[in-house]
Amino acid sequence: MNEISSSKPEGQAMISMAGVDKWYGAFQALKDINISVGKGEKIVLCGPSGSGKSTLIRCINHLETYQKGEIRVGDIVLGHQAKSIDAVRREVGMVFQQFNLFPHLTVLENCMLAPMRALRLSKVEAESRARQLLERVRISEQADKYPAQLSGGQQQRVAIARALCMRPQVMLFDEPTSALDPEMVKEVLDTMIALAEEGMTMICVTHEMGFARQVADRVIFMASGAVVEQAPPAEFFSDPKHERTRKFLGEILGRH
Amino acid sequence: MNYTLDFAPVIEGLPNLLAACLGTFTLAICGMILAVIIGIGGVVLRQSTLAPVRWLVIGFVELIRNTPFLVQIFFIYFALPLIGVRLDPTPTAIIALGINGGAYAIEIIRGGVQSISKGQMEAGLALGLHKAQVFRLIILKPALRAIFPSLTSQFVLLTLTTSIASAISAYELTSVSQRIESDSFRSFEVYFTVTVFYLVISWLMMRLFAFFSARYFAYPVK
Repeated sequence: MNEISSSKPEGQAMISMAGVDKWYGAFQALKDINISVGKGEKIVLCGPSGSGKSTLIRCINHLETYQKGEIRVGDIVLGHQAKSIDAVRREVGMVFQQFNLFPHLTVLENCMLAPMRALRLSKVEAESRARQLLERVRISEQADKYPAQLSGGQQQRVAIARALCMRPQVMLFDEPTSALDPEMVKEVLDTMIALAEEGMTMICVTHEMGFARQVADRVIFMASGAVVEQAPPAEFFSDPKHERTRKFLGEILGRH
Repeated sequence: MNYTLDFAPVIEGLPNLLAACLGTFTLAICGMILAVIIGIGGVVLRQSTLAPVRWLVIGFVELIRNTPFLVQIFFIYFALPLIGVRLDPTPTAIIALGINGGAYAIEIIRGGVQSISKGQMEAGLALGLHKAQVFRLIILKPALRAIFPSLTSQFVLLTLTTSIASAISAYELTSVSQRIESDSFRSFEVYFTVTVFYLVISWLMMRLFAFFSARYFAYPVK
């Protein structure tokens, strides 16, 4: 327990992971993860493919189970019971690489579904909330279109609005720009930057190092299922401590 | 070949034949509704976390798909009364058609559900919806859309299978035409007419499915 409390920063932790281990059969996907994210903090999670970064954020809303350790969101201990999982999912929004909009629902209906069914909002309330958030991601004029009629960038902005309609405390981004054509990356990043500036607590798995420099409070580097290094972006980029971090940065920055 | 066509008995029996078409239609539609309910219910149970429930569904599908429909309908009509379940021909036919079509529908709809990307389920769960809500509100419609052509041909087949219900004298086209044929001995005229009627019924079914599809699956996909 000592280790857990000592790993917390000042102030109340919005998310804390303590001693989290995850295996896929004999393969250990996460190794003793200890992370604490303060309210309003923006984290960029990076690392080579297969390093466990997506797995890590997918554990936070229990899309993946884990075998050991504890995850807390606010004052909810995640655990493995349906009740606490539900409670956490209401507080945590997620944006996926493949957008995952519901193809049979319009943009507006995509945004209204969960508030009506999970939060039991009335149709009128859900609609006004949805329109307000579609406005915020600057896509309100597409409200009555279906996902297939939108570009990738537009779809991802709708996905962000859809997650925000649940009024989450935390937003998780799982490689939100990786499936986009290059010319659409900016509109999605701009939306995320705006969200960050409004004080949202965010964990972003991304290779967009420009985004990391601009908005991250802390960059966490993972490799082989473990956290290797974490530091504020300025320090992370200029003075990486570990060999693996240097190698990764060399590859990813050299490529751009 | 000195056969002279004589459609008089057919024309005389036309009101009966048309009423029988309605009977066939009723059997088919009721059978399909039951088949869809069994199909969707079976898919849900097939995903159960309880292994015995899954085995029960698999066993049901295998049992129905590997035995003749005629035996199934005889079983319900002649064997079940011995354990106290006594049904009239029409309900018997509807239940038999529903069970038979349902077993095939389970496999077809399951294919549709499996074709939906895992991301859809994850997005629904991440938004705080329960598994059952995700299935009903997010997965089901695109899944049905994906397999609707297969379901349509399966249900046209079900429509034609209603003719087997003549074996227990359910009120439908084949049994009524058999009666007219045995009274008049006009086999060619009667079965020619019945063939045309079945063609029209099948065509109407396909139109009905196309109409339904255009109405409920109207959203665009990439």
